Amino acid sequence: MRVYRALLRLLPLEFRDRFGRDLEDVFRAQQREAADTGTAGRLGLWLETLSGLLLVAPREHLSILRQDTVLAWRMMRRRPALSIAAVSILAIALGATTAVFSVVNAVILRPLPYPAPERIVVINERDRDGSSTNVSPPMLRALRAEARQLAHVAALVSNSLPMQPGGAPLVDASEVTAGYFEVYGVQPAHGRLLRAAPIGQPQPDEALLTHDYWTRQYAGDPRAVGQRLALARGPAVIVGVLPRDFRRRESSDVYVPLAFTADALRAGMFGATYLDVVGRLAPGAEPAAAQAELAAIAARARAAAGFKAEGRGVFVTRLHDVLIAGHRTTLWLMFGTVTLVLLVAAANVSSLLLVNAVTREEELAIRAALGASAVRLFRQVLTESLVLASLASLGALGVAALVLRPLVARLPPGLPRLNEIGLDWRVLAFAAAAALVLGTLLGLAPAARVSARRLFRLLTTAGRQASSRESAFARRALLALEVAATFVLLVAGVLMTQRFLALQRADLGFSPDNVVTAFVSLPPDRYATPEHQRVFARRLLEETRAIHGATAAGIDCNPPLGFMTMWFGYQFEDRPAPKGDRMSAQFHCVDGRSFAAFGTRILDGRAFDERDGGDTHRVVIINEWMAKRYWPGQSPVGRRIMVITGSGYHPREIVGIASSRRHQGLVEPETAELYVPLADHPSNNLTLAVRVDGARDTAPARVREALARVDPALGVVSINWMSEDVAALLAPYRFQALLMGAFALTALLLSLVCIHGVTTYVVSLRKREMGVRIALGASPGRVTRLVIADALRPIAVGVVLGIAAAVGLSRALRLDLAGLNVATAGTADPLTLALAVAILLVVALGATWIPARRATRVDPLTALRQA
Amino acid sequence: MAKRDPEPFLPLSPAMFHVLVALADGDKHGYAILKDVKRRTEGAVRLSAGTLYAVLKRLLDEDMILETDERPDPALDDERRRYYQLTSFGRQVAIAETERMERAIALARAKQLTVRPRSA
Repeated sequence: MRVYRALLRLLPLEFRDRFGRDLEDVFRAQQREAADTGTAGRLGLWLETLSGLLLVAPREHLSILRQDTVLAWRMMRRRPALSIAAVSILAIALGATTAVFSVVNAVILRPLPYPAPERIVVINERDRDGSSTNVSPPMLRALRAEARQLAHVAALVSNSLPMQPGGAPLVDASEVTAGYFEVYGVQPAHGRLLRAAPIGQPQPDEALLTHDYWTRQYAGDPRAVGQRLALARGPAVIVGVLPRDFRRRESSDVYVPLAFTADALRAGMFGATYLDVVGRLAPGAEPAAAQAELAAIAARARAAAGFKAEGRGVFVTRLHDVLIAGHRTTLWLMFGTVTLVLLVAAANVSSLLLVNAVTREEELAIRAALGASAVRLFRQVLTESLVLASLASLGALGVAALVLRPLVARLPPGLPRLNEIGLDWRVLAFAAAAALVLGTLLGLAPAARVSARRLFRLLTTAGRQASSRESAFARRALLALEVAATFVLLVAGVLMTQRFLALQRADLGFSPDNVVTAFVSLPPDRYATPEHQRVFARRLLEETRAIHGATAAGIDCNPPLGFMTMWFGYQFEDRPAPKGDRMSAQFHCVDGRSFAAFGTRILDGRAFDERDGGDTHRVVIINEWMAKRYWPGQSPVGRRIMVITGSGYHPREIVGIASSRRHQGLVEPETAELYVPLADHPSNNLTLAVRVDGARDTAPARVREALARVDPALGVVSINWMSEDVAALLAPYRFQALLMGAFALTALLLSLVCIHGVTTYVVSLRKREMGVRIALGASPGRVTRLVIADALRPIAVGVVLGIAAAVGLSRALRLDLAGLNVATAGTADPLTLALAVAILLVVALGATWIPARRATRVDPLTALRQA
Repeated sequence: MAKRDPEPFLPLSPAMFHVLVALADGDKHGYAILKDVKRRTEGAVRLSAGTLYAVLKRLLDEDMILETDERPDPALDDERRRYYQLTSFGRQVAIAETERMERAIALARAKQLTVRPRSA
C-alpha cells in the first residue's frame, strides 16, 4: 500500500486531493480480490495499475497546464501595455544573450567539423625562452619517421604563388606534405586528393582546389578536374576539389604538394622554423604522452646534428584549443556581460509586474475564497510568468536572427569559425532553457506570496496596505540587484573604453599616420641576382621620392604590422648569451630613409647613409630594447655584435639605436630588433613606405604609378594606408568598448525606468504621510530631499554590491591584459569606480527628481480624505 | 438551463462509454463500476483505478455524472465511499453514442461486413 501511495504522487495534487482516498480504496479491494488468483494475478494487477497511472498522470498534468495557459493568456490580454512592455524588454535582452551565445556556441562549444576532431593536434617547437615556434623541415622529417603516438603528421606552408601573366597575378596556395588530408580526415568533393610523395622526394605537379576557388574561378564545373592551373613555376594538373565545409585557418585557394630542397632538409636548418605542423593522435594516444614522445625524438635529432637541446622541446596542443586560444576569455566575458544585461532586464520586468501585484493578488484572493487551493494558485502564477517568458523567448529568437549578422560582421576579424555561426539546436535549446529559468525566477517571487491566509487577509484594507508595503520592499530589493548589475556593466564599459583609448594613444615605436605602404614581390626569374634586386630598390626609391607631397620614402623587407616575421640570430663577440634569452631578433633590411618614412625614431647614433654596406662598412642598428638589456646605463654605439645576413655571419658595428617597434600587434611585448643596410641583404620581398604631407587623396595612385614606371610587368601590388592597418588591429578593442558601452547604456536606461517606477510607487504609497508633513509645515525642499534620500537607499546598497563585483571582475580582466604596459587600463582603479558611481548617481537623481517634485504638490486635504 | 448538445462529445472513448453504461442501471461506487465493466465485457475492457478516476473526473467536469449522497443500502456500505449517479445529460450522451455505433454497424452490414454466425 505504501508503494501505491508513493506512485499516486505522480498525479497532480488536485487530483490526489479529490480522488486519492477512493483510489486507495479501490486498489485495496482489487488486492483482496487478486489475493485469490495467485502470484500471476497479483503481478497482473500491479502491471495494470502502473500502466494506468503512467498513462493518466501526464494527461492530467497537461490538462491543468492547458487551463492555466489559457488563463494566463487571458490575464496578459487584460493588461496589454504591461504585457507587451514586459515581453519586449525580455525578448530584446534574451535575444542579445542568445545571439552572443550562438557565437560562443560556434567558436567554443561546437566540435570542429572533422571526423574525431579531438584527435587533431598542432605541433610546435619550444624555443629557448619558452616561447612556441613553428617546426623546421629536418625536425618534421625526424618526427614523421619516429613518432608512434601520432597516426599522421603533416606540414603546411601558406604562400602566395605567382601565376603566369594573363590571369590573376597571384594565387593563395597552401603547400602541404603527404598526410595532411589524413590528419583532417577529409574526402574530396570531386576527383581525388593530392598524391604527395614522401618528404625529400620530387613532388608531382598537382593542385587541389578549395570549394570557394572552384566556385569562383570555374563556376563549380566538375570538368575543372583535369585542367591545368597556370602557376608561374610551371603548370599543375587540377586533380580534385575539396568539400565546401573544409575550411581551415589559412584562407587558401589551392593546395599543392610541398617540395623541400635537399638544402632545406640538412641538419643545419634546425633553426628554420617556418612549417605549420599538424598531427592526428594514434588510437588511444593522449596529447601529453605524444608531447613527451616528440620531445624525446626532437632532443635526439638535435643532439645527432650537434645542436644543444637545452630549454627546448615540443608542444602538442589540441587544434581546438589552438584555434580559440586568446578568444575564450573574451567570448565568455562577452557572454557574462550580456547575461548581466539580461539580469537587469529581468529585474526590471519583475519590478514592472509588481506594479500590478496588489490588484492581481485581490483576484487571486477571490479565487482562493471560491475554493481554489494554494497549490493550484501557485501553479497558476508560475504558469503566467512561464507563458510570458516563452513568448519572450520566441521573440528573442527573432531578435537573435536579426542582430546575428550585424554582430558577426563587427566581431574581431581574428576570431575563428565565424562562418559557422548560426542558430542550431544548441542555440534553440539555450533559448528554451533560458526562458524556463527566467520564467521560474520571475514567477517565484509572486508565487511564493500566494498563501491562502495571506490572500484572505488581502480582502481587508489593512491587509492590502501591508501587502503594498511588502511589494515596495520587493521592488527595492530588485532595484538594488539591478543597480549592482548596472554598476558592474558601467565599470566594464568604462574600463574597455579606457583600454581602447590607451591603445589608440600607445607608442608603437613608429608613426603610422600619413604613410602609404606597398608590398612588392619580385618574380624570381627576372630578379634572380642581388644586383637586380638592388637596382630595383634604388630606382623605386628615386621614383617615389619624386612623388608630389612625399616627405620620405624607404624600404623594409620586414615591415611592422606586415603580418610576417623574420627571426635572425645574433651573438656577442666577448660574452656568452644570457640564460633564457632567445638570441634572435626581428630582422630588417632597410635603406637609410626608411626610419624617417616609417617614423621610427633614432634615439642615439645615426641612421644608415650611403657609406654603409658592403664588406668595408659592416654596420647594424639595434633597437632600444636590446640597448637597455645588453648595455644597461651605457651607449652601445660603437660596440660590435655578431649578426647573420645574406652575406654571412660577421661582427657588425652598432651605429644607431632605434625606438622599439611593436612589430606584430598592439599588445605584443617588445623584443629584439636588428636593422642592416638593404645593400647587404637584398630581398625579393620588399615593403615600400612613403610618408606624405598633404595630397593624401592621390598618394596611393602616385605610388602605384611610380611602381609601374620602375617595372610595368609587376602587376597588382597591395597598397595600404598604414593607419588603416593600425585601425584594423584596434578594431577588436573598439568593438569590445562599443559593445560594453552599449550594454552599459542599455542597463542604465533600464535602471532609470526602474528607479523612476519604484520612486513613483513609493511616493503614491506615502501620499498620506506627505500630506501630513506638508500640513504640518514641511517645505517643498524638505519633502523632495526626503523622497530622494529614501529612493537612494536601495541604490546605495546596489552600488556597494556592484563595487565588490567590479573589483572581482577587474581581476579577471587583468589576465586579459598581460604583457600590455598601458598604465591603469584594465584595473578597476578608484578613479574608474568613482566615475561609474558618478554616472549612476546622476541618473538616479534624474530618475527620482520628477516623482519627488510630485510629492511636494500633494494637496494635504485630498490626501487625508482619500485615506 | 439550455439543453446541451451531446454531439461534441462523440465518439466517446471506450472507457467513458463503459462507465456511463455501468451507471445506467443504478448508482455505484468506484470499485463497483470497475467490476461491472469487467464482468459485462467478460474482461475485454479492464480499467485500472487511475484510468477510472481520470474518466470519472472528466465525466464530473462535463456534468455527465454527479456524486450522490444516497446510499442504496446504508447498512451494507462503508460510509466513506462516494457513489456516482448518471445525469440526464450523461444518459443522453450514452444514448447518442449507442445510436452512433448502431448507425456505423448498419452501414457496415449494408456492405456485407456482417459478423459470421459462429459455428457450433
